[in-house]
Amino acid sequence: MKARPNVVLLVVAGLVLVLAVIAALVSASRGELDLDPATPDGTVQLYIKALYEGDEDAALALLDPELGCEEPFQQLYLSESARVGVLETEMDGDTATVVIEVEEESGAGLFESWSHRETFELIAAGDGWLITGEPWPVYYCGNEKVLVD
Amino acid sequence: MSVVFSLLSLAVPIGLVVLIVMAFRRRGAASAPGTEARGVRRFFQYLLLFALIVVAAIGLSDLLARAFGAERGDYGGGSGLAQSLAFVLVGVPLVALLAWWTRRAHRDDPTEGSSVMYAVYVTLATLTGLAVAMVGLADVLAMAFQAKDFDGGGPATLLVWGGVWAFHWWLARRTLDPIRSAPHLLLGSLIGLGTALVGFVAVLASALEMLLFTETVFGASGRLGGAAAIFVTGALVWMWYWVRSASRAPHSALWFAYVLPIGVGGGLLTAIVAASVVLWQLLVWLLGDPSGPTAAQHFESTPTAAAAAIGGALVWWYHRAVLSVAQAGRTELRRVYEYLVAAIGLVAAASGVGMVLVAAIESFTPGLDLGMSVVNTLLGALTLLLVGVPVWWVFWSGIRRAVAADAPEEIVSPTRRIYLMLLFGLAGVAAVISLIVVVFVLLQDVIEGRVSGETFRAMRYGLGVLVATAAVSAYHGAVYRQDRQIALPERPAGPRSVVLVGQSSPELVRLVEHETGAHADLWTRVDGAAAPWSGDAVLAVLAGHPDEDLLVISERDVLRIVVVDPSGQPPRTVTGDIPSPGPAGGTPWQSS
Repeated sequence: MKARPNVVLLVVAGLVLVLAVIAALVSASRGELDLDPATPDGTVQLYIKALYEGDEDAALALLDPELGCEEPFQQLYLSESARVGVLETEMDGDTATVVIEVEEESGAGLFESWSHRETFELIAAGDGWLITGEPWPVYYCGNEKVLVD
Repeated sequence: MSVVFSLLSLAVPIGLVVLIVMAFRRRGAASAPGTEARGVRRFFQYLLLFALIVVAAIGLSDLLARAFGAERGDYGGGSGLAQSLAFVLVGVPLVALLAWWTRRAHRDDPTEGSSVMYAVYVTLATLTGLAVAMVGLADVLAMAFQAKDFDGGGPATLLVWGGVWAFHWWLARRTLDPIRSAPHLLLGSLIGLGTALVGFVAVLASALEMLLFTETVFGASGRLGGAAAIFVTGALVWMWYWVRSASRAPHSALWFAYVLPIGVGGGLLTAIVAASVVLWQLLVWLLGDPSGPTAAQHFESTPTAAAAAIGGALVWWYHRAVLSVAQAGRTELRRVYEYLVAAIGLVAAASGVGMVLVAAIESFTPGLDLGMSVVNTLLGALTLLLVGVPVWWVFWSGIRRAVAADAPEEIVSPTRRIYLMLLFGLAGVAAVISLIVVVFVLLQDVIEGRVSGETFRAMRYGLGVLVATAAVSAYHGAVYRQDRQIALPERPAGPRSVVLVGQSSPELVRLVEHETGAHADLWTRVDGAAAPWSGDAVLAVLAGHPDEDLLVISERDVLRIVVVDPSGQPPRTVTGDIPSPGPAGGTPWQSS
């Protein structure tokens, strides 16, 4: 048995090992994201983070008061865990649009996750930004506000 | 009921088309007049009998349930009672009439009992009775185990449908030969095994939860009692069908199709998937980000997974023992077993390889983590590798040792060739599908002008599958090339196909196929004019006809060889008669 298949097997095993070690090192060395409330994408991420941490006060402070949202949020569904990635941020004077990819996970399975894209509309307020429109996952609080360009 | 009628409305046109096609095919043969019409008559006769039995049994069990005190919500003023009464008043007399007519037809015409439609009817009616009666039995047992309040529906279902099952079971044993009763026995065994496994897992999971999480057993849910009822029901059916009957049935292709892919493959797959879940949850608790702050929350689904792992392993172990693959000698059966188990381990290991890439991509695309961690993904990959690699390695090493010991025998075995081709085929299909997904995700973001690290991240599962299939294909491609380099012993060039006409001799067919590689058939002469076969003589005359299609007719003292053309052209040559050595001139091949 000259060992050509064995060579392939060794190469595959080696690559898998190297890749696994790199993934472990990179993920271990990664610090927490520095979210800036003065930017539209920072505002959106701080809002979602506050919701997942159960801090509805902080989330409410980032929503446009004209939406009429109050604590506690009605019919709010959140998965057990999630991960948010910013796809695009567009600023146009006093308004901004942020598109994010939300990956949600529930249960303790290996493959029990799903992802979706959400678009947030923001308006400038003082030094920062406020979320308006129908923001995920609150959508609608009773005072529907129609944005006029 | 609507399901039954929908199925019937589908079955009628399909069955009619099949019958008409079969009738036209048969026209070429010298069949008796009226054969086609008889097929259509049988189809309707047995379909009607089956439907009437179902209708009568539904009506009877409902009436009996009412007699046992079951409460029925008759909306609209007793329409349920009217329906059941109609089912019984119309169904029962018609069943009796049709059954009497069918019995008379069987008595007058012995070919009725050997028709395909009759075998299909008996199989379907028995299994339908079995499945519904099992629901009733599980209900009755659950009441006996105090997991459920008394309800007349369970005993009524058990009595009526159990009667349907018992009668058809008796009919099947009396009228179907072992070959024709195999589908019934094996499907019954499968129903019993599946139900017993589900019940076993539920019982064990409830018991583990009770021990670990101090939950009450005979409480409001009565989970343990209900699970035990399902387990006992499945176990009884399995004992009756498999242990008492099917395990002793002839080992036909269908029998192996049950034992190998379902018993061995299904059991092992269940065990591997469930063990992976248990190991992953344990690793995440120790090293990763747990799904809940307390052990009870994090390990909520672990007892079920652990029970499924034990149940799957038991099913695997039992069917492995049934096959007796551990016996000495490397048979084709043992090869099928080893390659099947190796394939299951390989799928788990390859999934682990793909998951490593998924974890690596996740680690390079940082985002806002809200409980989802790369470490858990990496631990998932590690789990799949820890479970899959040892299984694959143990069985693949055994196969490699077999190649080292007798390479020509192993590498020409159909099992090895089919295994390698299947792997290449499945890997190719998986690679194409994942490539389409990857390109779709990429193009979507290109068109929307949003190509970023997130695009790469969205492609990670597709890329993981691509890498896993590439690894599997690369390794097995190397194995395949190595196989082709091994010199095979010269095989004498034999004919393409041989039809032997003479005394029945399955051994001769096997000998001809093994020695010449030709496809061989044997047609038995019923005129008694054939001498016993001599294997040596047959092989000697076949050696002179490489790559030809032959008809070998055994006469009293000669072997007549005719070169034929299966395409319908006249034979090119007739080689003449060769004196047959008869019983004294070589090894006689007596009929068996």
